[in-house]
Amino acid sequence: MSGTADSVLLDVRDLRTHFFTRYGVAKAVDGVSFHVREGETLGLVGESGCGKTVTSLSIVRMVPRPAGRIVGGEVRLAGENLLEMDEKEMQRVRGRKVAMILQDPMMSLDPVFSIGEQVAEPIRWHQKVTGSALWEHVVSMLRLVKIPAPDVRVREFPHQMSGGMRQRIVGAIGLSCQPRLLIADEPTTSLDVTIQGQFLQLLSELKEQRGLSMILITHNLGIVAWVCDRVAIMYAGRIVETAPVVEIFHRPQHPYTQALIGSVPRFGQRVRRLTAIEGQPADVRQLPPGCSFHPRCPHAKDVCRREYPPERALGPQHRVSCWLVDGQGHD
Amino acid sequence: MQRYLIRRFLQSLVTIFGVSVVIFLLTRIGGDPVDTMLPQDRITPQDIAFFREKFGLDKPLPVQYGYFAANALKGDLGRSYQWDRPVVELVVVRRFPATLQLAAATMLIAIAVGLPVGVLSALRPGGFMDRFGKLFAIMGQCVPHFWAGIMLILLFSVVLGLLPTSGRGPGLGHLEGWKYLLMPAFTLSSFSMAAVMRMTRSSMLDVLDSEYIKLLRLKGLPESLVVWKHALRNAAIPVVTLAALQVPILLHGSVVVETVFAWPGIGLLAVQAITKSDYPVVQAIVLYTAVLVVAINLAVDVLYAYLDPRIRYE
Repeated sequence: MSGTADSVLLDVRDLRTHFFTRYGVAKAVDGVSFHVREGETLGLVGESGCGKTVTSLSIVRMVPRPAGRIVGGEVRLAGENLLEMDEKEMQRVRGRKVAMILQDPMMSLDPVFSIGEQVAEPIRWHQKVTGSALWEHVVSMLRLVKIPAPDVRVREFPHQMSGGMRQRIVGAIGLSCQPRLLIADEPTTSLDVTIQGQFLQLLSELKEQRGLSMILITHNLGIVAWVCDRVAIMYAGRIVETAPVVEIFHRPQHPYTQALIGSVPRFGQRVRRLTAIEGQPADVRQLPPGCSFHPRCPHAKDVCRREYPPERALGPQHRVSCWLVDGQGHD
Repeated sequence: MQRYLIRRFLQSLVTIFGVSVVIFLLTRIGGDPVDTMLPQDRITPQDIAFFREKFGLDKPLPVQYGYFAANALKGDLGRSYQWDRPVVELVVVRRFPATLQLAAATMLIAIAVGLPVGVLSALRPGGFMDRFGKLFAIMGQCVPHFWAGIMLILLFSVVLGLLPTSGRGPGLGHLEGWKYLLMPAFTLSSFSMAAVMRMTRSSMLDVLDSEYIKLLRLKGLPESLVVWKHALRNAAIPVVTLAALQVPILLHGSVVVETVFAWPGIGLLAVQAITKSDYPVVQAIVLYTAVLVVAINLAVDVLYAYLDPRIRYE
């Protein structure tokens, strides 16, 4: 890892989160390492069930119990290992240093409390602000995320708002205590396409203004190209390739990355058929030996079936785990 | 909201009118006071005629109902056949407060025990509190009131000598009076407590699984605030419905419990009145109970609007 530079905010090393179920152990996250620098946006990309969400929940230590358990690794936020903290200390990290935006804005807000109260709560709790100062802070947060007539809207309830507005309120809640890292887990998946753009635009602006670092979890490569600085591609609980966003689109090395990019329709190009990725996504309860992707890989060799490939560096920021890639790249 | 309340109030009047007709007819099907009130061995046809005329029982039923309704609107529910006293004084002044007291204490116990146990059960499904609560709930719903009451009397009064066996005692003004309330209220609450407990548990489990609870935890709020402020407020909505539905069940159960503990409420009075075909007393008791249930339902609807901002009455 190049995570020794002082600008690294979040450094995840060899994170392992397993689920112990009746049907066996599901290795949802199995040795994930990545880092996020100050002010950087990292895209975490992969199919459904590849462990993106479990990775983010592991960072804030909210893996569903009792089945899920973090069994190994380190998560360092500004040098502090979050996995060694007790629950009380973690409560001071959540909302204050690391904020998260969930996928479904329609379900993310408590239906029986007002918008104002829900935005106010973390400010009151973490920063001990009360009274009219708290009220002003809440209104300013709503203004920040471009809620019209914020001083009226604070008194309203979630059911009186549209999905886009609710997601912006979730954003306001996340940013209210000036966190250093924002994790957005598919924040636009359930929004209308027109609203998706607005929300991403807003996120990018706020990120710039506040010097925020961000992890954007998505399966939408279009969003990645637009918003992210670097990308980490996940497959079956591991990161298979990571590189700056331009590099990923122009020189994808891992066959899975190539397939992902090949499956996106491009504007202005006439393509008879989109390339689909053959086979089913890997089942993390029963991973094949060797490289997890080999049953679906068009170029799989003998060694791929035997041993998991080590990570190779292709450039200062480009890493890939694939037997087909020699040190110089193979394009 | 105001218009809604007015409409609901008018609907309630219709309900109470319906109840009054049904209960008027049912008491008359139930038996003839001539058979139960007069000494059957030395009775003359003249005595019977005199009795019927005195209480207006010689008139056709619609006319009798007319008198009953007209007087009821004036606040006069007639005189008891067996005690020869105004029913209003007998039922409302002497007996109804005792039943209300018992019912209130019962609801209080059911909620004060059922709600926290339900919440704690949901926090750790399969844990000690959950198993204990489940056992308690099954017993509460299966064991009949009269048996539970007698067993409690045996244990706490006869064996341990801690609590009085029966009666209402000197009232709640004295510490001693509370001892009289304890066993009847606990016996009567067993069924409702179990219902509140299980409903709270399942409702709480649903809520705790939701996305907004996840976001609250992500905000860094302590678990106590997440559970007791947010989750409970959401989970309480179906529990309120259930608790309101318990009120008629509870008044029904009070007939048995008041009899077992000789608690001087309308339940005990109802038994005495029905066995003697004391029409005015039975009518008054059912009418007052109906008014109480209708009023509670109305109060619950208002409470809903407070608990759940999504509900707005037009």
